[in-house]
Amino acid sequence: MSAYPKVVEEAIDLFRRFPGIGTKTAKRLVLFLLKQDKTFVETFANKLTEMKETVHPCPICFNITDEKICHICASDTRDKTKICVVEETGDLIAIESTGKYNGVYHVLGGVISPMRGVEPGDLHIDELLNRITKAEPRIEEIIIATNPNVEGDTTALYLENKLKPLGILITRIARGLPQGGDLKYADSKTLAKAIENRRPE
Amino acid sequence: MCVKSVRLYRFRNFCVEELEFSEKENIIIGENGFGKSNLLEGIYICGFGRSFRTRAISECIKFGEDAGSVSLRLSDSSSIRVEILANSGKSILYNGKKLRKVSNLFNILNIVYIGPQEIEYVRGAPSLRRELMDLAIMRREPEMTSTITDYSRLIRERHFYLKKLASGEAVGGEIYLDALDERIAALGGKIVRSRLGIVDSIKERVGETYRRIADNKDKVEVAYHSSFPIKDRENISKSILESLYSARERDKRYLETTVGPHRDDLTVKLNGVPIREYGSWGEMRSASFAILLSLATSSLEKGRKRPVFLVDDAFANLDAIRRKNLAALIRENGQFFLTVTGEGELGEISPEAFVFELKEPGRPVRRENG
Repeated sequence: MSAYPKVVEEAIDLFRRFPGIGTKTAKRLVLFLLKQDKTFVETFANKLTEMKETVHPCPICFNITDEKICHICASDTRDKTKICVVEETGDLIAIESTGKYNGVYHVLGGVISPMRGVEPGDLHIDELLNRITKAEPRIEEIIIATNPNVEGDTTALYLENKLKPLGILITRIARGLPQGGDLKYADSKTLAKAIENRRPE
Repeated sequence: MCVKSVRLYRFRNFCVEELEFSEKENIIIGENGFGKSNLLEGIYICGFGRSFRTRAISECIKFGEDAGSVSLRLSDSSSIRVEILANSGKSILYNGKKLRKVSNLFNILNIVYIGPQEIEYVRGAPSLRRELMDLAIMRREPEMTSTITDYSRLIRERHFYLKKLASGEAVGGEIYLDALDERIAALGGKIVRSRLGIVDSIKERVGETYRRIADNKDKVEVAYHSSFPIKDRENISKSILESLYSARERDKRYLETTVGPHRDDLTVKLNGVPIREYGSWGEMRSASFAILLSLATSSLEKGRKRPVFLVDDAFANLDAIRRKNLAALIRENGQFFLTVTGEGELGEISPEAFVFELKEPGRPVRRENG
């Protein structure tokens, strides 16, 4: 017999599906909600439904948006001749927060990993190719910003091979040391990469 | 670096408060089942974060208990402690601080375990010899560790993708295979270059060491045997890539990657013929020792630590001369731990050696010298 009423138990199970949330945290969140007044819980529930109803992937770049197309694709000031390809929306937000990039994006929706059942067809790669061939004005540069790990690197290479015939400049974001970091504490692989990829000042 | 003392808590049949060791030679005498190997296993775990006996490290906890630990004090007064929990694995602490990666352990102690199965390094499957070379690489070039693990991941990805291709479900077609092959060749090239470096550094030493163990004129040679032609050492990745391309149709049939460093081997020859086919047990054993010793000592040149040899019942099957020569070699090159069932196996004991007797299971007692 569970210590909680059935509906509470079910709510806990739902919270446990969230990434990074275990049984303990799920219980805490549910107990927190039970303590709140009704308006808070209602607003919360409505917000979730509203969010789900209005937010959808941008048909151009697959960033999330509640408009017809996302604010980046819709903007007049963005440089539409550069596309930065990222794995997930979270990566896009990270690059956006640097304020250093004024081009547009393309969110792949993951990385290729046959081992985990993700294939090129499961990602928005065809859409990217389509987008490039149809683009007006012409795309000048594709910046590949997948994560620097086994799957990210292989996906990047796959993209390069796919894009090569289109004859546009393909670049990858640099890898190396974190700003404000300390050589002594850098992991050896990153440091090795930083030395390999050094450049004249 | 050597092991000054060990403390075992609820570890197998041991519960030992601070057992001090000789920096040179330690002999552990005890009957079967009294726990000689357990003591070596404890030290080994502090060097590798895993056991040489079992994959499930929780088996090392004393039966019926839910946690155990091993702590080592080292000659530079640093310490390694491995805590083993029945349900949640292990945690490794170096000087009281938790180590994030097990591979960080490999460079603290240079442990060489030589057990009864070590003959397999010469006699057994090529994968064992690849592991041996790769461990040596990880110790010498720690930044290669992730290259080695990434490489095997890529090989698995390729295997899954070949299956997908065969079933006609693969949308990425050959272009994704091209991408995989390029990555495999890039990482594989680095691995092979490092392995060649390792083989170069031990080549002569293996021959010399074998001659010293065997006390004869026999010639043992090791060579790297690659599954693809190496035309140019500076451009191994290119050779791998070409071989992957030409093996592609075959790979698609077998659903496997048939060329690459994961198919390479270290060949060992005795007087020009493959030792695994023509050698005797004693010869294969001696050759295994020669390789392990050479790997441990060649890395000394690169500023590596003096090895700690854990020799577990491994002198069985060797004649008295080889046994004596081997012991002398080990003594010269590092700290020496040796388990034996009886003193008859020992020959003369050096006066500097610490002798521990296990008169009852799990209770080693140091014998007074003299």
